[in-house]
Amino acid sequence: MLLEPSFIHRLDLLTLATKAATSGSGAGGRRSPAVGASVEFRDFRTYSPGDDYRRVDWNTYARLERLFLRLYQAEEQTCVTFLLDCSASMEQGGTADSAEGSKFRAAQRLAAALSYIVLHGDDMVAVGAVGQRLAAYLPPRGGRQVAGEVWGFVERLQPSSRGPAGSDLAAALRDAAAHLRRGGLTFVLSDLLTTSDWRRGLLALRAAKQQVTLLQILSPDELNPSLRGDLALVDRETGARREVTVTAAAVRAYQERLAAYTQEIAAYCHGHDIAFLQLSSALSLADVVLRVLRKNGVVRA
Amino acid sequence: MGFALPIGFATALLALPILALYVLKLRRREVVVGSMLLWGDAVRDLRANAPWQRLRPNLLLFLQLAALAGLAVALARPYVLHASAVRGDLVVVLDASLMMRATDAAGYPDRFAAAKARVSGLIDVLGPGDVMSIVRAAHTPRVVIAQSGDREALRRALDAVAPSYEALDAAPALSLASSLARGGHDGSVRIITGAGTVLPDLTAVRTLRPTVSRMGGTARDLAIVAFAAGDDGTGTLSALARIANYGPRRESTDVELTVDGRLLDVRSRDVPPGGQSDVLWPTLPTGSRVLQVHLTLHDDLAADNTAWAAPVRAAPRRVVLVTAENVFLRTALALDPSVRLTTLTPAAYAAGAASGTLGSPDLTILDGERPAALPEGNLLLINPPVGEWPGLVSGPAVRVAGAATIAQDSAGILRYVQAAAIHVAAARVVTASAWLRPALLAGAQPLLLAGERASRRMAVLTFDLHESDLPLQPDLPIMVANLLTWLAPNTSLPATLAARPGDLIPVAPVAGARRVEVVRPDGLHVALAPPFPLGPFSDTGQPGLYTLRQTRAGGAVQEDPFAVNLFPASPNEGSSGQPSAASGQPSARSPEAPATGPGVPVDTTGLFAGLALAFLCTEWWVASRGR
Repeated sequence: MLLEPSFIHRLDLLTLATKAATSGSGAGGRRSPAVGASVEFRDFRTYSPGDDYRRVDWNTYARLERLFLRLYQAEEQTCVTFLLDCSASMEQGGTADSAEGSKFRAAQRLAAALSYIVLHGDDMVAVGAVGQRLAAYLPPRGGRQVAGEVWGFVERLQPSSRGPAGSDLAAALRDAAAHLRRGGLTFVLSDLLTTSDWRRGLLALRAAKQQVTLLQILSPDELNPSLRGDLALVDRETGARREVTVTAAAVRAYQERLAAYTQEIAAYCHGHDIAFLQLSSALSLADVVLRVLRKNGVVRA
Repeated sequence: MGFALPIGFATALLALPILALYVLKLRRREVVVGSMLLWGDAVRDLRANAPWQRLRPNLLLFLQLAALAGLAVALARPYVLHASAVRGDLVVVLDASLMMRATDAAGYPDRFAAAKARVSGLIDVLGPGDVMSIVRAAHTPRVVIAQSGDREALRRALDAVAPSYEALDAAPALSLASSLARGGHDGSVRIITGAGTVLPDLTAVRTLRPTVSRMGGTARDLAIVAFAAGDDGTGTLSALARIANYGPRRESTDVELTVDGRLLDVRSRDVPPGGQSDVLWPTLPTGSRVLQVHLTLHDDLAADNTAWAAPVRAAPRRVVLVTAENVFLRTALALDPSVRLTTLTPAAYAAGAASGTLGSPDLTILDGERPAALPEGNLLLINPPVGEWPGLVSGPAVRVAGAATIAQDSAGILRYVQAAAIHVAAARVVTASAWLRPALLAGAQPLLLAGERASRRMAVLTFDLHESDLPLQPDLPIMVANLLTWLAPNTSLPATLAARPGDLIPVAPVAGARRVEVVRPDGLHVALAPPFPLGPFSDTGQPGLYTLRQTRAGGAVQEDPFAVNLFPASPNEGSSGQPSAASGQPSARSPEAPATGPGVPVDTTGLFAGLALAFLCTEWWVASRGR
């Protein structure tokens, strides 16, 4: 079970925060750049033949003897896409018998929680699994009744991208961007430990008019390695083996490298209007959603 | 280099497991990481093994092998054969004479410091099982430490040795060293002396492979080699100083004369190398007691630039002669102008002694008479009447046959006397105490006895002068003069005293002296008596002005200064020395040539153990730097 029932009730109080209005399809609860019929006043416009006379402001006509239409903010459905990294490196943190504690499990649960928030806000949810390419895709759908379907899709996803070449996150994101025909929000949940040029993938999403939020999920032993001694390191994704002597100095060098890599990602995201958060897979889901995401403005009450 | 324990090299086999650690495949714990993306750079330089185990150049491997090599060599107990002469039983004769105070030893305060450094170097290379003795050579040799292999003990003993002001008498020192060296096995002698020192023939110790190390080089040395002051007989005091230049170049100096603490005169002298110059002061203040002459030149040996003189003052002798009549004796006594002779008959002597008008004469001569009360002080008994005398029981006279012979003459009372020319007709049979020893015999009959007990000196002629041919011989005034000199000395010190450091100075206490002491130049008082009789004064180690203080019974104090100077006894002695052909390098043709041999093993285990430790520390540092 991805989400505890008690936790689901706590998600009812949250909505997804967006930086700007998005164009969607169908009426929904999210503001649209289009002018529509809602209770939120936006502007006046002179009447033209063919306009809906029900929107004529008669009080203004009484004062000015001219016909004006009252314009209201249109509320449309927005499609929020969750792209889960299904590369093998996302298995890190779990055990051989259970995926609990792995980065992928953390990504699954986070996607499930955020999709519930989205569906609860009358928006639509799409889910994609990215690995070598776009491995699986659940087209957009809305309504709270589809939450179970979405969760089932997410839960069935498995990390699978093994091979000498590893994952190709850039190609997979480009594939996903091709499926996003209208503007919307996209959450990318990945560890970004890939040799492919992930920048090009994020750029493709931006080109598809997506407000992108990149959630980098790393396991505790990746954030703060406790390895020491003569070891044979095996790359989970490529299977490459390397015999090394891990010393304190090597660990310090690793941490410096990680910090530089994180800084590189953050700088790129900042330059391309992409929200970026680095999360530990050891954090509880409640801690991530109710504290970290709220604090960083991804969700709001 | 040799190795005392070659089996220690077996330790080097440990190199094999060390190499194996780098060659054989290491079982490593497999750890799955999400990605090697971030690990690649971090561990690239720290890989110890290639997967296929090829041996690669590795600093840690080199350091470990180097440490193991040092350890293996150290365990093999390495040694090097030192080329020095330290082998077996070494006796070092360390010259501590005056000349070793010369400051011409490069890098050292003086020659003696350089010599001690040389000995210290010998101690350093002393091999296991070897022993060393150190003999301090000066006026008299002294064993500083004998046959010790304890380096610390040798160093402590060496540190305690100080140079003297004495002249070197090398022969006794070599004899002592030879005795010490022959006491051990494989003995050898190393003589460490100054440049230019003339050593005795070393042929006698050739079997001990004598070697000579000479300290110093070409010293500038202007020295006072003689300084004397005295009365010329007219009451005029004069002084003469002789200056010698032992240095390699001409020297100019001022000569200062100080009389009783006041600077009296300054003369300039220019002395060529090897030359001498005299300075005469013909007229000095009458009554001057202490004279000092000093050279102002700063040369390499300052000790011999100052000399002292104390003119001997001869006091008159008061002699009381108690006799019925003895013209021969009176005539002989009158020959000495210092004698104030009082001739008394026994009755007059008894009256004078009773009235106390006789005072305390320096000598009382009882010629065939015995007063009721014997006088205090020194006595000369001639033909003592039958009865008991101090140390003597006199009997009747017996006939004596044959010429006289000298039994012993420790007191010098028969000096220049021809005993064989003396014939005695009759002499008294005497029974003398042990301290009264016969000096002149006729057969078994003692003719002259002399001895000293407490502070009294006494001589006994057992015959009447008229019963002998002595008055007809020139030996009578000679013997009387000798007896006066010994029984009534007018100076407590030898009239021709020219003492040098280390000399023994005979002291004749004045009559009635109760306490005798000597004040050294450094102010220290050295008591000589009581008890009497006193021996010679021997504490003359330092040059300068000494004072003999004698306290009489009434508390009167007589002070007689005397000087101890660094004058050479012979022309070859006393200079700091001109360098020999090669200073410090003895000739190879002479017995002084250094002994050659296979050398002694000097243990170098510590060196290699230290290297091994250094490599280990470096390896630890290199390894920990990467952790």
